[in-house]
Amino acid sequence: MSGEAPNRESIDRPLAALRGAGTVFGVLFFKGVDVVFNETPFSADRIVELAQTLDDISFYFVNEGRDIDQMSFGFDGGNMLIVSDQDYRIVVMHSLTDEVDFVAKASRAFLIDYQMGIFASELNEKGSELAQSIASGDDPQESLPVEEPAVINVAPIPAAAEEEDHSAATGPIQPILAAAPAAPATQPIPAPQNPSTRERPPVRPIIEPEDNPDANKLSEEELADTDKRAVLAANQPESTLPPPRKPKIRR
Amino acid sequence: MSDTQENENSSPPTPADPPLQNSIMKEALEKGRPRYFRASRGAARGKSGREDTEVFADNLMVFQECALLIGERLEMNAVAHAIVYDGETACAFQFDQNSNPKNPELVGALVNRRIPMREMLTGLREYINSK
Repeated sequence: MSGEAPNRESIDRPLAALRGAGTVFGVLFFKGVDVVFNETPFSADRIVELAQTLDDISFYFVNEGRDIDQMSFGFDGGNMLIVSDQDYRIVVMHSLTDEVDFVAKASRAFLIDYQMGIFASELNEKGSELAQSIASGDDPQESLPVEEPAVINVAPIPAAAEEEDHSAATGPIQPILAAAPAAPATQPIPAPQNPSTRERPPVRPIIEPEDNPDANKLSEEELADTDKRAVLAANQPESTLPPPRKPKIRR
Repeated sequence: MSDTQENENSSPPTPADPPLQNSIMKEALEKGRPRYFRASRGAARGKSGREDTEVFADNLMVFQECALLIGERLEMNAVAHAIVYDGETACAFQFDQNSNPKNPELVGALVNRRIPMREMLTGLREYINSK
């Protein structure tokens, strides 16, 4: 835990409450050799010396591999309880020996709350940093060693440049088309089926009746083909329709 | 200090004897009861075996030194008692106020659990008064 306490009030209020509990007449709170809270009848110099002495004692036990986190000493002027957790130590001086367990529980609870406050403040700081990075648009994972993709230039293009791009874009296509093979995409239609090359029968000219009265008569070849046509039966009555009128010729 | 210790066991233990062979210590460990010791004239005596008594003697010297160092800073030199939690064990000592001031005696205890300090001190007083 290397962070600082969220605020001073989180230290002063509970330790002041502990200072006024039972027969407690002095409360000290150390972080290593630093005096964080001092409410004792002793001078500041003595408290600094006490902090140094407790740090030396803790260093000795750590080197010995011993986990000594609570000590109580009975002196002629009162009892002293020392509760430690990592670098944090709280020293409580009290008169009544039987209060030692109560004072120890209260001190331990303060240390746990204090370190939880530090942990919460660290989480809060990390959360606020993350929120700021998100608000500013920075990717918080930029620092990670991730291979960056190829850079794509997405700068805005002015209108004139767009036209140039269009002409430039269509320009290279033309030589490609010119160089393309001349073969059509579809296969040529064979001549017999090709209507464009198929031989058509000669168009028979229509002769007006006045010029050639026998024009409507069938030719011999056509008559020869009558067996292929529908012919009237021998007993077929003649048509009841009136004969066609002959057009009058005005001279 | 081990050469000055006096063991109250009836049969002197050999180096091959494990500490748990002492019935008093074995019962105290099983039930979480304190193992009591006495110390005077630079010697510690106990009934829970030689090794256990040596452990108490070492702890007594260390914690007396700590109490003296702390007391000097605040001019509170006279130490009446001390209780220390060392991991999951507890160690304590208390001067016998009935002993001769020129030749003070103290009683101490080791417990294999974090016994309440008040209970530890009460046990030491009872052990002093039972003498």
